Amino acid sequence: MREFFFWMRESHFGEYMRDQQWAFSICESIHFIGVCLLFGALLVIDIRMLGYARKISIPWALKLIPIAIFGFAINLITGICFIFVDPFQYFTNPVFLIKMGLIVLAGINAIYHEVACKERICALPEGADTDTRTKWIAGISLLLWTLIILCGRLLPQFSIEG
Amino acid sequence: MKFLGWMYELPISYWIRESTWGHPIMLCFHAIGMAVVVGIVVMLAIRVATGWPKGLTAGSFEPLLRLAQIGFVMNFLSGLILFMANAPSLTLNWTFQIKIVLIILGAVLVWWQSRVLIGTPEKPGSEAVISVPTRIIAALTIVCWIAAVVAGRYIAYTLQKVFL
Repeated sequence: MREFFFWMRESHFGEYMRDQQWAFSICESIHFIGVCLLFGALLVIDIRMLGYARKISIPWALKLIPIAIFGFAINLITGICFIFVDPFQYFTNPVFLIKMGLIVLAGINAIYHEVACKERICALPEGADTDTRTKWIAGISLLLWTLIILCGRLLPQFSIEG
Repeated sequence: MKFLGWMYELPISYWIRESTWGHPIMLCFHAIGMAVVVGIVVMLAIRVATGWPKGLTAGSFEPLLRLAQIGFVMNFLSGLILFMANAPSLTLNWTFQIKIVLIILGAVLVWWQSRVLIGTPEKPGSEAVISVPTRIIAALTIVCWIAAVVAGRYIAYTLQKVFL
């Protein structure tokens, strides 16, 4: 792993990300836009799954999932670009490791929703309340993604190197 | 400038500038608020501008816009506190000025969209029908809010501290 981190840091791309401030700042901007797309789509879906805003049709809300995946994808890519700057700085930062752990949990939660709940809640009549299990999944999803944003925002405060 | 100086001298401004946690905590609120406001506004605007995904009734907009309003208030307050802590420097900062103009413009465009959509008479379960001018407004709304996010990010790079 150590060798891999060295390779990342010493690569042309790593050097480029360190030297070109505009490249880093553009990645940051795109990362923020990704946050908005991911969180916005999930907010609409999860609010409805919590049983609020029942005028929203559940099948409609679920059609926003590709936007959430798109937001996640651009954040994954820009996130990897940040790590190239200095992998050691990220992987020695406890908040970064917590953030990664929370993202994995959010992913498991989303997959569980996909296999265990999606079909059932799509079959609900318009304006119907959702079941307790669905509400739990939606609540956990919102909580996890909120914490993930907070961890991201607090990363610099917990950075050990620099 | 006197008023800006007064804000700069307030105890809360001092706390934001000097304490370890004041500034990051306020940025946390601002980041969550951003995700709520821009997230919701962009989701609705994508639907209005492109007509995708199908299956949205006009009535669905109301609860979502209320949620966006809550996020907006949160960001207005956290933004105001962050502004007070560096009022003189931020007032002179061009990225900050652009950001504020974009937010005002973005808010007006959302209000315009919502007025058209919420006023649309609705049969239960029927699709919201959207005119071409409203679609254009929605597309501009997306551009405005995304640009506001980018401008906000660049404040960190362009801010030159003015000391009082």
